[in-house]
Amino acid sequence: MIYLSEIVNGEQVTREVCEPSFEKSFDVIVCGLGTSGSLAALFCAENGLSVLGVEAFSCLGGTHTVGGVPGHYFGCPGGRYTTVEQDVQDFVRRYTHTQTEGRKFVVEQTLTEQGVEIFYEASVCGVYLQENTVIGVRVLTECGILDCKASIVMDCTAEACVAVMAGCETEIGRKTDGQTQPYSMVSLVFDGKNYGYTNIDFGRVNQHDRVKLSEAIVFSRGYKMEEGHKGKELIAQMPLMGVREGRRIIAEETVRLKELFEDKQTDTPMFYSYADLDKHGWDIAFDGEVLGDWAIGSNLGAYNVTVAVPYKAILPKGYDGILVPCRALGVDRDVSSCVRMNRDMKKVAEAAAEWADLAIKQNKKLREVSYDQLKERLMESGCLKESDNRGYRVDGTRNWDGTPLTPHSVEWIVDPEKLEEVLKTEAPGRAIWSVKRMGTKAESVLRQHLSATDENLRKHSAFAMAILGNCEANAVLKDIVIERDGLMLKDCRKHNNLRGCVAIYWLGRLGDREIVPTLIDLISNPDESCKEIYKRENAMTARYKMRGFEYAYFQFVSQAVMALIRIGDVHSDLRPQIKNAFTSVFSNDDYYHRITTRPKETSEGNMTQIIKVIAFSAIRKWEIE
Amino acid sequence: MYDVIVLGATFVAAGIAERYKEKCLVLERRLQAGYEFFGTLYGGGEVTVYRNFEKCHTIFDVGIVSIKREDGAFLCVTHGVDGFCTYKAKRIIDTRCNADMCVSKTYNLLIESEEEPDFSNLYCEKVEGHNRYILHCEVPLYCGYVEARTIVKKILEGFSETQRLILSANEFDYRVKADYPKKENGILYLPSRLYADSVLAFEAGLDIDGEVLK
Repeated sequence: MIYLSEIVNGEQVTREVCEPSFEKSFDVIVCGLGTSGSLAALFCAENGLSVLGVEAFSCLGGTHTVGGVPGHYFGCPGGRYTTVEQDVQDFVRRYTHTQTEGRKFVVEQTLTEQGVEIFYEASVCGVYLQENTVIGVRVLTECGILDCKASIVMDCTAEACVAVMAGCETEIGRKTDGQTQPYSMVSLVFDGKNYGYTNIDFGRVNQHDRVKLSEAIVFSRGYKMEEGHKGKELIAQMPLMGVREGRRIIAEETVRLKELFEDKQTDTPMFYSYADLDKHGWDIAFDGEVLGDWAIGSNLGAYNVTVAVPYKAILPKGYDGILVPCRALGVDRDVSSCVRMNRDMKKVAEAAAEWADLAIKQNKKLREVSYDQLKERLMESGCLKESDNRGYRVDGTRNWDGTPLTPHSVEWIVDPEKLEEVLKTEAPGRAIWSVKRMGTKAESVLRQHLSATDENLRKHSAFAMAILGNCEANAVLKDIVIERDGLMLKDCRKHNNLRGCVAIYWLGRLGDREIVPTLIDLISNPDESCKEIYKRENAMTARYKMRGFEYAYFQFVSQAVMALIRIGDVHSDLRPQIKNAFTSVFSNDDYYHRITTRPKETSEGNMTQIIKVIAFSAIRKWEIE
Repeated sequence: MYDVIVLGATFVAAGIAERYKEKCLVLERRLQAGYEFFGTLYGGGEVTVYRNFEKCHTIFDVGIVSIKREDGAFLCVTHGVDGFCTYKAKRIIDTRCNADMCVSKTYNLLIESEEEPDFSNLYCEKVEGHNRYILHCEVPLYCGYVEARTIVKKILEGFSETQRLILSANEFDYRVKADYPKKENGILYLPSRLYADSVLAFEAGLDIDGEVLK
């Protein structure tokens, strides 16, 4: 029996279709010709498969062209895309100022030379299924609706649009409030000498709600930044929005950050992803505990991680005939901020093309294809290299203070006696995380350090004790909060935390009830924001110097609110006190004005509002309980 | 039910939005407004046009599936990020443009050139105050973007060492037939690209119930 599955008013609607009349038939239909889709289509065609590409824009490349993100941010080079990239660079050198234009022309020409049929300004509006196997799609074009059959459909929409139509299970956003990363608008600018792209982050948007998406477009494209384009001339706004995060499929094998931190890796990788867990939201307080222990509690947010991406991460759980080789692949929300870079998307395209080729030519279902055969192809091209499994690293070009950064591997400390040397510095993160890895055997050494006269050693040992779930150092943590310690830790080239915020984080994680009055005072006292600590230059360098936004104060308040929620979660008797504080602070916008003068729709305004939303959500949850 | 559904978030639509405000619904397939000018590389004023779309209901990223009449009203079926959705209105004004409505079209390039470009048979417009030019490359009326870029690539191959492509268009630049605006099956076709510039297009939208309909 064949079914046509569509989305109507946001709901999946499936109906039986007796004899679907497919107007066209292909080996592979690639839905979305963005960074991954354009290359997936190309590699399939080069393998001799017949391919249809369906793209909403009037050109291919997506984020890599009309999105104005021309370069590569980390990832591991290698694989079939490098040949195409060489042609792009040749074109750029000869004819144009911008990588994006080169890519637009060169990849399209290569695709058409390989016989790929392209439908521009078109989108998929229905999926044909036979049991749980996708067998075709319904395409909405400028000329009407067209039904096309395919052996394999590739959903490269970045949002799992086709997979969702087919009924595949997906996840989106963070657990605390369902929010995704902030989106940005990118513009082509001219600085008097060179052409380049600049992006401005805005608030979060639910890109699956047409009204909210449209409101975000109207606001962000119409918003004139106080800073303008930093003295650069605006040439054009890029037509594609910079949506960083969307739906993710539940795949046959899904990568989760908790398992990554436990050194559990797939034994069937298609490539290794390599980047930091690149969060653009500054409200990292609300990003969850697995990421929080790493990025806040250990201050390692900009350390690079290596993720072995399993080939089955692109096969939706329980389905066949469909692959999702794009940002929407099967990784959890924390890992998704790493496995989304341009190189990763090019490699996932290659893996999908090879997998599809093997399935079609061997007349097998996708799940029946041998991994060894796929692995052989991926290793041959350089897409999959064991040398790319580089573990944890410090990488980049500049340190937080602008000095040159020398990339290096991270070696975790295994001997508790060696912790002191690192804990004494203003970059204690490697030692704190090492303690998490070595477990309770570090406790006796840390216990001694808690009475040390060296301030860094004492305070950072308290963080290390906390990561073990040990409350013995809570008195030290409380002192750090009470003094509003504004020292910026210096482990990372960006996203460094203030020491007082780290202490608040750990007291929340440990459910420390005694810190509650201090935290309530911190969020409710109108004079708090005037304290010198929030105005210090070193505090402001923790992140961007944003006019009209008190970054350091925002961090303390957001961390305090999340800590109070965590404490209230474990001490129900404290909930009335915390609830009263939240109600009092967030019943008007005074707190908002203390943090920012920017409009609510901006990234800063949006994050400031989220504090209130999170606080009231906790109250509602407690009332239900 | 809306008083009017406008197809295309064009400058004409911006004028209609100003006139009808919340009684108006604008439906746009793209993620941009004013694309008929900006997308063809006539820059400037990109920020301000969005202010008009704050005044009405605007839905971006939706394709038009079908339009039919029922009980004197129009039913417009769309497909967007949340699937199919139907809207109802008393009237429909289509401000978009396609090859059937036009006599010719060009695919435009924004280029940088140290000297005035000399391309035979190509209209070349200087961007005031800069060494930039908009190159209007004539392409067959019914050609698609792939074919257009193949033609344009040949032009790029004739570039001198001091000439560089900055940006290629996202939209075709249409020359609309003289018999527009016109009404067919109750729908008013008023392509925004009928007008020489965005200001004239906006004014035409603003005056939608005045001179234009008469």
